[in-house]
Amino acid sequence: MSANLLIAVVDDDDSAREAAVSLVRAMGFAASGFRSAAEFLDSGEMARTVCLITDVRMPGMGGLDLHRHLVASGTPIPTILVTAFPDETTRARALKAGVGSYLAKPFEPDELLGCIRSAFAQGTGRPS
Amino acid sequence: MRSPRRVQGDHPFLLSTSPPSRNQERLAVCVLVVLVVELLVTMPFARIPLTGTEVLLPAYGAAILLIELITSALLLALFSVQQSRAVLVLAIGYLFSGLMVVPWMLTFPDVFDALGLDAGLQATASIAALRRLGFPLFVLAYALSKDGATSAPRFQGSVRKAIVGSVAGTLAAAGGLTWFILANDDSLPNFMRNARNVTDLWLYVPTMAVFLYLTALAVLFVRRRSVLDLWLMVVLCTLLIEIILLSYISAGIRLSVGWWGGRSYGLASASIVLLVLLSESTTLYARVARSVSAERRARETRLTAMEALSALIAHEINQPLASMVTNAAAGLRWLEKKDPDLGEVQAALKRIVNDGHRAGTVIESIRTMFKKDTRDRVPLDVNQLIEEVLGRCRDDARLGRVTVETALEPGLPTVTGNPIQLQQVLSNLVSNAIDAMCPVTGRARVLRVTSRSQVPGEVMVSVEDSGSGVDPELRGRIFEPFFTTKPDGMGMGLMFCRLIIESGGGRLWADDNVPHGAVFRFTLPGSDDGVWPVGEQAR
Repeated sequence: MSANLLIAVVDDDDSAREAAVSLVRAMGFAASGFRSAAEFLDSGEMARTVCLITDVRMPGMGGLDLHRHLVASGTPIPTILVTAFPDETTRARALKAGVGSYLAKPFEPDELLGCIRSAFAQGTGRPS
Repeated sequence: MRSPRRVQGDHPFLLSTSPPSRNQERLAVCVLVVLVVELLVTMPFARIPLTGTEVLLPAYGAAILLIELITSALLLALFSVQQSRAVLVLAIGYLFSGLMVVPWMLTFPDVFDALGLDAGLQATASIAALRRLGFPLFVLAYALSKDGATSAPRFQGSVRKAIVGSVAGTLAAAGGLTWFILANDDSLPNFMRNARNVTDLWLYVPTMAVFLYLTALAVLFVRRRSVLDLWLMVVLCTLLIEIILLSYISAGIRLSVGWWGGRSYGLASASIVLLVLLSESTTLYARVARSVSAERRARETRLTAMEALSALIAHEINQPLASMVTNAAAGLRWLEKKDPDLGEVQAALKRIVNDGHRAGTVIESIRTMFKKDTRDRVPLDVNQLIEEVLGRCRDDARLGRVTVETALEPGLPTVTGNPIQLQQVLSNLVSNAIDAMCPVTGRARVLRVTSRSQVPGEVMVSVEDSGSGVDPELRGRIFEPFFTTKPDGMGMGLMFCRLIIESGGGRLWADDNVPHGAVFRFTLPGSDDGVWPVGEQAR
């Protein structure tokens, strides 16, 4: 896989973010962590981000809103939503908004890997 | 030594124990004024005969009979709650007075001729005399036997037996007296000259009645305490006016204006206590309904607080736990590589350590939050604590028809604890016991609270009920959080009880009660060897 392609992890919880970044990197992907949706949007890394792993509940813009924002600005990124408090309403809203996966923390590494792979598959049609 | 006794109840809401309000006193005076005005208005016309008004007598008698029977029944109900002998005596008085109306009416000249009832000339007047003199005697007995402020001479035997016995006795007495009067018309005192007019001998009856009314009034006035006393005084005044109208102003002429006026007072006096009983019951009912809904609201608020607390705990603990799992998974992935990156593994392990500390801090801060309350630990008198809690649960016990008994050992060693928390434990156990007896029928519902000292300087408290007991299979689980056998229970009560008792160095457990029900016991260490809650520095 191209080292140029990045997986972005957006989570306000330091430990959770660093853990996810470390896990994704251990799986062989390039990964970067961002404290907030705003930090990610301002980072200039959007163009090479092939998959977005983001927490649902964050101060400021939440994960679902970030995804919607990207879709609305014409730069959709395949998204994996993660949350420590899964609920059916959010899952339904996420799937409706075109979010590929909705995972409960703590997630199984293989489950996350599956999600990343399908996000990659989803993202291959995308001009890079 | 232990001294088993009933809890002395002051029943703050009962008609026979609560003092009258200023408004009730004013109302009573107003009623009296109206009655006296009516008397003055009637006086000039008192001796005008109203012939042919016998037909109204059955209606009058039926009304009196019904009113006095209902009053008696309500007073008996009051007796069953308060178990005061005085109230029982008064109930019997009303029953007797009501029953004696029946023969009085049936023997009244020219009323029931069609039925072929032909009693002697003197029968009606003799029955009237018995009724007239009997009722104030019962009121007098009530006033003399009624309790002082709190030292109630309580009825000790079975309430049901007392009620059945006294009703049967009154029926027998009324029947026996009637039979005697009807069978021995010749030997009765000559009260009546003819069907309409009385003899001079009759005048002794109203004189004696006036004397009895005034005596009872005086005794009631001196010993008056309750709403019931106040209105009984009004009743006696009404009866006094009645007898003055009947026997003096209308000169005892039957069916005259004054005589009927007197009868209207009789009706009023019979109704007064009934009306007061009914209005007080309605007020009490409204009060109970209000407090039940307030209690329900409080319970719902508590539920929300508990839910918020558990959500908070779940949220604060779940985050570091999830991170730990993910960090461990990442560390394993790095180790599984052909060329393990130990720097990454080390970083993951460090994050796990931090997460562990983070979770520990959350738990510690929650504990500190609860510890704030446990810090005010003071020497406590367990018996006083029990009395306070039982005093607060008394209304619940009464509504649940539960008899509360205590066997408190005098001179218990003091224990150290937080009074509010220990009260919570006790009232939780007591209300559990009352709830457990709700489905019980066919045997007494008895809540028994016992305290006693035992070596080494410990105090043991037992809360026994006569409910259906705890299923042995569930006994191990009732102290678990979120375990409940109640349809609307949270399953937190017993868990918190055990936490509080154990944090004070005591134990809480459940046993079977003999022959029915469950008993919850807890021990508290004496003040001298009090154990501080875990984590708190010994001082």
